[in-house]
Amino acid sequence: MISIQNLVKRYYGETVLNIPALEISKGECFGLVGNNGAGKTTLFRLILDLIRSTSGTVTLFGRAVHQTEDWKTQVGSYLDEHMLLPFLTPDEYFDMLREVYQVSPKAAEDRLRQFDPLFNDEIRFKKKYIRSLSKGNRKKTGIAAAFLSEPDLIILDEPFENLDPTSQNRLKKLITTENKNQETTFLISSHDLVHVTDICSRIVLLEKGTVVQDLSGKKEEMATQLNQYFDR
Amino acid sequence: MLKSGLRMAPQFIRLWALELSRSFSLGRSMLSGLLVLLLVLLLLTYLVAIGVFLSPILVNVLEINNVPSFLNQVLIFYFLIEFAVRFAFQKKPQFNLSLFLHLPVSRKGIIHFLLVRSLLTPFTLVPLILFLPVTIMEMSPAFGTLAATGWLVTILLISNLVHWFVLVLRNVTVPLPVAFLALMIWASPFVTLYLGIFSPGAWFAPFFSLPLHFPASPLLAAIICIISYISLHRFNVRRAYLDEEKITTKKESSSAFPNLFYAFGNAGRVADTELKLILRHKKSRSYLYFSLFGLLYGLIFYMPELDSNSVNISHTYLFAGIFVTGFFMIQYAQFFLSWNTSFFDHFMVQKNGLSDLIGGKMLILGASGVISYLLALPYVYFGWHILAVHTAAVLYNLGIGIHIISLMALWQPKPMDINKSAMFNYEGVGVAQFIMAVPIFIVPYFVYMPFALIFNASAGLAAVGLFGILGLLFHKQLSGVTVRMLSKSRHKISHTFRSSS
Repeated sequence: MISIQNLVKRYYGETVLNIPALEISKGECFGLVGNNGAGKTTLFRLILDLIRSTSGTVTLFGRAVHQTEDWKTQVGSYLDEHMLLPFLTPDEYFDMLREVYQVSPKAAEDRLRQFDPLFNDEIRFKKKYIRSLSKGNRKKTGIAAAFLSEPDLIILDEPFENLDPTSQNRLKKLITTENKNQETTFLISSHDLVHVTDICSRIVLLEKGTVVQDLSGKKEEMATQLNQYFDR
Repeated sequence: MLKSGLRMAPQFIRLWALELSRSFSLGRSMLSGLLVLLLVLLLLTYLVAIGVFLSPILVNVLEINNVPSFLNQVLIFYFLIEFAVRFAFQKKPQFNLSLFLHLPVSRKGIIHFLLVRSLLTPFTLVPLILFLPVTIMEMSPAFGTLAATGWLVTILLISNLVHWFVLVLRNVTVPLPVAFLALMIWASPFVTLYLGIFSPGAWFAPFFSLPLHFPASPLLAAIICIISYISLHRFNVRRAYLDEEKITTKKESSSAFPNLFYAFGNAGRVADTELKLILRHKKSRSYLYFSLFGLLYGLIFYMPELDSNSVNISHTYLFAGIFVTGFFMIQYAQFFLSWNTSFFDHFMVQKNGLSDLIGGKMLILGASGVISYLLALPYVYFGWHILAVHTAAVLYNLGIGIHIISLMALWQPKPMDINKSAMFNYEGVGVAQFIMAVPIFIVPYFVYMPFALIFNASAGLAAVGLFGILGLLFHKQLSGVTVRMLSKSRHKISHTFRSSS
């Protein structure tokens, strides 16, 4: 589904990302971990064609991301608050996205219902603009927006950050259910090793822009490996 | 399916309206918007009058026999001036790309929408208003309807070309020498005309009269317009990435920076930080450069001095003086607190933080006034009385004007992201900003006029100067008013800024 070839991103001659090859297949729940500055967000931005690579390509559904934009209908993403329109209420924002993705009101409503536990009655049907929401509630809005169109691929950057423990667990449930039932592919970056090992079937560890470990298999083994790496 | 720009246009327009109506500074935007609208309507009315009476004026007042030939000769100057006015006032299309790039909305479509939207400016109407009547009254009888229409269409197309050219210029930053050279090239036709070396108008006239003789030539202009649109579109699509800014800017320098305002205590510390803010952001830096041009503004007023050989102090000189010595002050203070949007809370949590903030701003604004005054000293060339004007003006600016503008700026300050400056976020020097500065120009005339009318202009200037000195003596009390006002609205402002991240 996602195929990365010789992907390099440089800023002022400094290489921030260098991935010779990486394949992510359909239905995978792909976790990305690494310390600050490892290049996680840069990789996500490159996959979404939000920034241009210095060299190399990202291929989504068989086509290079910078050559066509058709893949955008099949991808939902939430990287940071810059993707939200601060002057809309969450309902208005969902409505706008519904029109952009051409989702029927019924389908969108059903979709958002699934988020009721996560929203905890603090997001929808409130006369509050996104800009006045707390960081956690903005995050929930953005994540729901990424799910809204039932995309084949969902990319989330640090989805657990700023969420309370209950919400973190509810979000984990949402992701695993979606991944199991719809075979939706997930790309998730996180600093929370417990959550990542819980939900991801494959975990890639980035360090200074390169892949240093590519783990899959038993959760316990992945957890041990990761703990060894980070416990330095 | 991917949404094209056309399909998204209603959506974009609706969002734009929502953003506007939900803005924290709605009242402020509405007032300045209303004033701008009135100003634009007034100017357009003038233009309609000029357009309608152009041909009678040319024939009867200026006694020009061959109007078409005359018009073709002055068109080059018209376009040079149109370019200058557009360059000064036309804003760059603004758009927050990060909201839509990850959605199934075509990147090309967004840029199409932006470029087409940029045409929605009064400037688009100007050539039509100016030249439509004369086309009907003069061109059509002389050359036939078809040729006359072609002539008008060509003018509109060239104006359109100027529009795209200005947008291109908004995207590039040129070093100062290049800008100066460009200014020279722009001014050279006017200079040669003034000196009578040769007539650039006559040189370009055959070019503008082309459509009158070859009906197909507007087609050529249209093709050039389309080509420039397409290339501008391509250029912008290629730049429509989030990190465009990062690629084009150089690495930051963190060299040691002298603490110029060290002697002023806490307020001085704020001023030094503020100075770093000004020098390290493209947006504020551009105001700094622009201020250099503001210094030249006095020329428009003082130039006639050279011919008259008199030492008359015109009543407009005070206006010019305030403008010249206060240009940066007025510009910068329009966004008084907005510059500090992202770290306003930093001042909120400090003891006396807000009064230090105001004090620091005043230091910066005051210093800019003094520097402008010194840089404007060469105006003495026009006579010593100009120096008197500037002295009165700078005293007023430092003593009174600074407080007026600070108080005004506290009204619903707009949150501003100073880090975004390139790619579609350039806010330009809008007319609205100048309008917010109107009181600073009007107030001194209340002091000046009585003395100037009863005695003479010098007495008026002296009164304004004393007024300013009085303000300087009561500086503490006056800035105290601003500080109290800020303290009162601090929670609201802080909330506004925090919610705009």
